Amino acid sequence: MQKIAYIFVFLTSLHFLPMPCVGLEAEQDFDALVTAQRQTLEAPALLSSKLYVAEKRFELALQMAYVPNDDFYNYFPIQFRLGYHFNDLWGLELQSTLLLLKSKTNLSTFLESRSSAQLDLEQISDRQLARFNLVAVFHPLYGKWSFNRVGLGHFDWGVYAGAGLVVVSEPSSGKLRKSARFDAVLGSQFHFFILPYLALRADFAVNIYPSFNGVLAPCSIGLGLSYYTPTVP
Amino acid sequence: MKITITQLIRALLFAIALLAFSQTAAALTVNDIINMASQNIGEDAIVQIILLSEAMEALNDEDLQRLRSAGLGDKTIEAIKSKQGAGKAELATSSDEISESAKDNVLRSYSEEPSREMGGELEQTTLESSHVVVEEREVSVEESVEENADDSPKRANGSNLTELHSLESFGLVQVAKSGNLSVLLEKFYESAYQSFLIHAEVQAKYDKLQEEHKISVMGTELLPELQRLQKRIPNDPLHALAGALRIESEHNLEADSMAHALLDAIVGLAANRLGLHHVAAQRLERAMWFSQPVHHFDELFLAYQESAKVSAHVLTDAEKIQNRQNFISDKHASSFIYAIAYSYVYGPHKDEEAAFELLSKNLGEGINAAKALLLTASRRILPPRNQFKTAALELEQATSILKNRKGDEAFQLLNIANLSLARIMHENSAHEQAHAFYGMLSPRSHHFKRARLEDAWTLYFGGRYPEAIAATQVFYIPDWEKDYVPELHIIEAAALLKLCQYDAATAALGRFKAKYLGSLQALQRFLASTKATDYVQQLLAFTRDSAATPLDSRMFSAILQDSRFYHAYMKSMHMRKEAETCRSLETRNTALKSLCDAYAADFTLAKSALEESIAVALDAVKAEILALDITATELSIEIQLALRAEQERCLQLTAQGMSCEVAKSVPEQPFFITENIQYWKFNSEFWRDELLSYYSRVPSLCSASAVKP
Repeated sequence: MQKIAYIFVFLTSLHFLPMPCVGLEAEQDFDALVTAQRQTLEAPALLSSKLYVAEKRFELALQMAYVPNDDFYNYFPIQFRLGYHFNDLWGLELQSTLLLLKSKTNLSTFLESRSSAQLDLEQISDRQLARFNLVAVFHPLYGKWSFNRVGLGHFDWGVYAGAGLVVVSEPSSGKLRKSARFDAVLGSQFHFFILPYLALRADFAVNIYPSFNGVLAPCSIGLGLSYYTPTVP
Repeated sequence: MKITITQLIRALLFAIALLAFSQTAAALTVNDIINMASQNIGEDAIVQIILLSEAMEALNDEDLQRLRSAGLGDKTIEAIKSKQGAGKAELATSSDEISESAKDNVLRSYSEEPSREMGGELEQTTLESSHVVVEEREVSVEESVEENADDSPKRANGSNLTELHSLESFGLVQVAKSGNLSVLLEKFYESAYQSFLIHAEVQAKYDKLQEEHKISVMGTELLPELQRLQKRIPNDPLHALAGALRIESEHNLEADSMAHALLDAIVGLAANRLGLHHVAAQRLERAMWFSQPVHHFDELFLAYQESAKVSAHVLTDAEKIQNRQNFISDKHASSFIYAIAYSYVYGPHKDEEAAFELLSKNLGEGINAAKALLLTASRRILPPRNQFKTAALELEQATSILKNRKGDEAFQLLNIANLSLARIMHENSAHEQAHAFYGMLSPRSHHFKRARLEDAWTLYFGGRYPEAIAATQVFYIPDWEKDYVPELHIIEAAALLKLCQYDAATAALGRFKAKYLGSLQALQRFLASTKATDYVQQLLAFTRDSAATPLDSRMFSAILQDSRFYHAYMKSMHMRKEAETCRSLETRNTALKSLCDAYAADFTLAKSALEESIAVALDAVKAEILALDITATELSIEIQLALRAEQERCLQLTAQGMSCEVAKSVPEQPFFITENIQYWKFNSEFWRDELLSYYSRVPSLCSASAVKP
C-alpha cells in the first residue's frame, strides 16, 4: 500500500513540473530556426502553393499520336492514360494504346509497286496492335509561360519510364499469329493547364521491344487532353 | 663586405654561446656535429669544437657517410679521429686560443648571411646601445667560464646542440634573424640556460639588458616544454590544451613574458581546433598582446578570426592590438585593421575617431574594404555626425566593390549596403531613390521583409498610395502570414484612407485588431503564467508543437526577429555546445575540469542574459502593439470624420435637390504583376521573381462621390 502511495505521489508530482519535457530534437530545430534568421534564405521559385495542383489527383487522358519511324506502317495510335499523382513530383500511370489506325509508308508503297506478285507486308514485318504499360512519372518542373503578351499559362513537364506488353501480329511458318512481347518505354510529357481540372497534354515516348526479326524502337508523338479528378484523400 | 651592427652582435652572442658550450661539452656525438653543420657553422669552427670536446665516440662507416653527406670534409673526420679517447686535460691548455678561433669563424659565417633587418631609426639606436653591453658581456662570460670550468653542471640527458637546433621550430631563431635584439637575447638566455651555464654575473648582465628592453624572462625555463606542447597542437590538440592548462595552474606568469604569450597561444590554438571558440578567442587575443614579434602571428590572428566569428568576440583592447600592426603580414593586414576598427566601434573601449583613422587607410579592393566602408557609413549617419552624403558615397563605393564579388558574405553585404542607402534616402525624404534602393534587395536576403515594409512606408510618404499597398502584398505569402508585422495593416489602412477607401481602410484596421490585439492578450497570458526561467523551454516546446504552449505564433515570430534575442541566443547556443564539447573532452583528460567549470558558469550567465533578452523582446512587442493600437484608433477616428464629412456633403447635395451616393470601396484589391511592360493578374501564386513587381490599381475615391442629378 505504501509503495502504491509513493508511486501515486511521484506521478502526481510530475504534473507540477513547470514544462513538458522538451527533447534534444526541439533544441536542434530551434537552433536552426534562430540561425536562419540571419542567413541567406533558401527561397524557392514558388513561395506559395501551385495554382494547378496535381497532388493526390487522378489524371485521365485521351490523346492521338503518330508513330513516324516504322518502316512499313505509319501508325496513328489512340492512347488512353490513367494516372495517379502521389505528390507534385511522383506518380504512376497506366498507359494503353490501340494501334488500329495505320497507313502504309512510302517504302511499303514502293515495294508493292515494284513487286511482280502480290506482296504481303505482314509476312515481312510485324504489325503492332496494342500496348499496355505501367510507368512511373516524375514531374520536376512547374512553370509559367506567356505568348506574345497575350496571356499567361502554366505548364509542367516530366519524364516517365516503365514496362509492359505489346501485342503484335507477326508471321510464323507462313501464317500470321498474334503474340505479346515485353515492351519497355521511356517518355516525356508536358501539361499546359487550361483549367484547374483540364490540361493540354503533349507526349513523346520511345518503346523498345524485341520483335521476331530484331529489337525495334518505335517512337510516338501524342497530343491530347488530360482531365484531373478532384483530390482523392 | 658590409657588416651591420646587428650581424656583429649576433655573431658575438653566438660566439659567447659557443664558448659557454665549449666549457661544458661532454662527449660529442656525430649527431651534434651534423646539427652544427646544418646550422651553417663553418667546418673550421666545427673542427675547433671537436678539439675542445672531452672525447669522441668511435666512428663507424655509417657515421662517416653521414658526415660526408652533411658537407663535412676530411678535416672534420681527422679531428674526430684525433679526439677519439682524448681526455679533458688536453682541452684545458688550448681552450682560450681555440675559442678565439671559433669565434672568428662564427663571426665570419654570420657576417656573410644576407641582411634581413627591418630597418628604422629607432631600431638602429636600440641596437647600437646594446652593442656595448654585449661586448662587456663577452668578457664576463669568458672570465666566468674559466672560473667555473671544472664544476659546471652536466646535462642529464640529450644533446645540447639538438636542443639548440630545435629552437628553430620554436620561432625564436627566426625572430632573431629579423633583427629584433630583444628576442635574440631571449634566445641567448635560453641557450645559456640549456647548457647549464648560468652564472650570476651573466644573469646580472642579462637582467640589466632585460631592464633596458623591458622583457620579462619569467617562465623562460618553461619554453622547451611549451614548445613541445605547441608542436602537438595539430595532431593532438587535447593533449596540448591540457598540458598548457596544467602549466598555467602551476605557474603564475608575468603578463608580457614570452612564456605567458606562448601559453595563451597554445591554449587558444588548441581550443580553436577543438571547437572551444569562446575560450580560444579570448586566449588568442591575449597571445596577440605580446609585445615582441612572433613568427606565427598570422596563424594566431587567423585562428582568432575564426573563433571570434563563432563566439561573437570583439577585441577587448583594440589599442594594444593596434600596436601589433607591424607583426601581421600584408596578406592579412586589411582583415586585421578591420577587426581593430570594429572593436573600436563595438568593443568595450570605444573610440570611433581611432576607428575612422584606421579605416581611412587603403584596404584595397577586397571584401574588407567594403566592410570598412559599410562600418564607417553606419557610424556617419548617426548624430551628431549626420554625414548622410559622405555615408551615401561610401555605401555606393561599397556596392561597386561587392557587385564584382561572389560568395554569400558579399551577397549579404551588398544587400545591407542597398538597404542602408535606401534608409539614408528615406531619411532625407528622397522617396523615389529610396524606393529604387529598396527594390535592389534580393528576396533571398534576410532583410527582404523589412525592406518591403520600409518601401511601403516610403511609397506612402511619397504619395504613391496604391503602390504602397502593393508593396505589402508579399506579406500575404502563406508562409509569411504568421510573421510578426503589425505595421502591415496600419500602412494599408493609412494608404487606403488617403485613397478615401474608407471601408477597406476600416477592414485593414479590423485585421490589425483581430491579429495583434488577440496576440497581445495571448502575450499577457503567457507573461502571467510563465516564469522568466521557463521562457527558453516554452520557445522550444512551441517549436515542436505550437498548441502545447500559451505562446502565439506571432509572438514567437517577434521574439525570433528581435536582434537582442538573436545575439543572446547565438551566444548561449554556442556556449551550450562548447560546454558539452568540453565535458566530453574532460572525460578523456581531467585537466580540462577547471575550463569546463568555467564554461558551465559562462553558460549559466549566457542563459540568464538570454532569458532577459526574451523578456525585453516581449516587453518591446507589447509596447509596440499598444503604440500601434493608438495609431489604429487615430486612423479610425480619421475615417469616421471623413465619412461624416462625406455624409454631410451628401446631405447638402440632397437638400439642393440632387441625389447623392457615397462611393463604396473596391471590395477586392486588384493586384497586377508587371515585368517590363507586360501585365497580368495576380492569381494567388507568389513567384520569387515577381515579388518586387506587384502593382496595385486601387483607385482613389476622394473625388468620386457620385452625385446623381
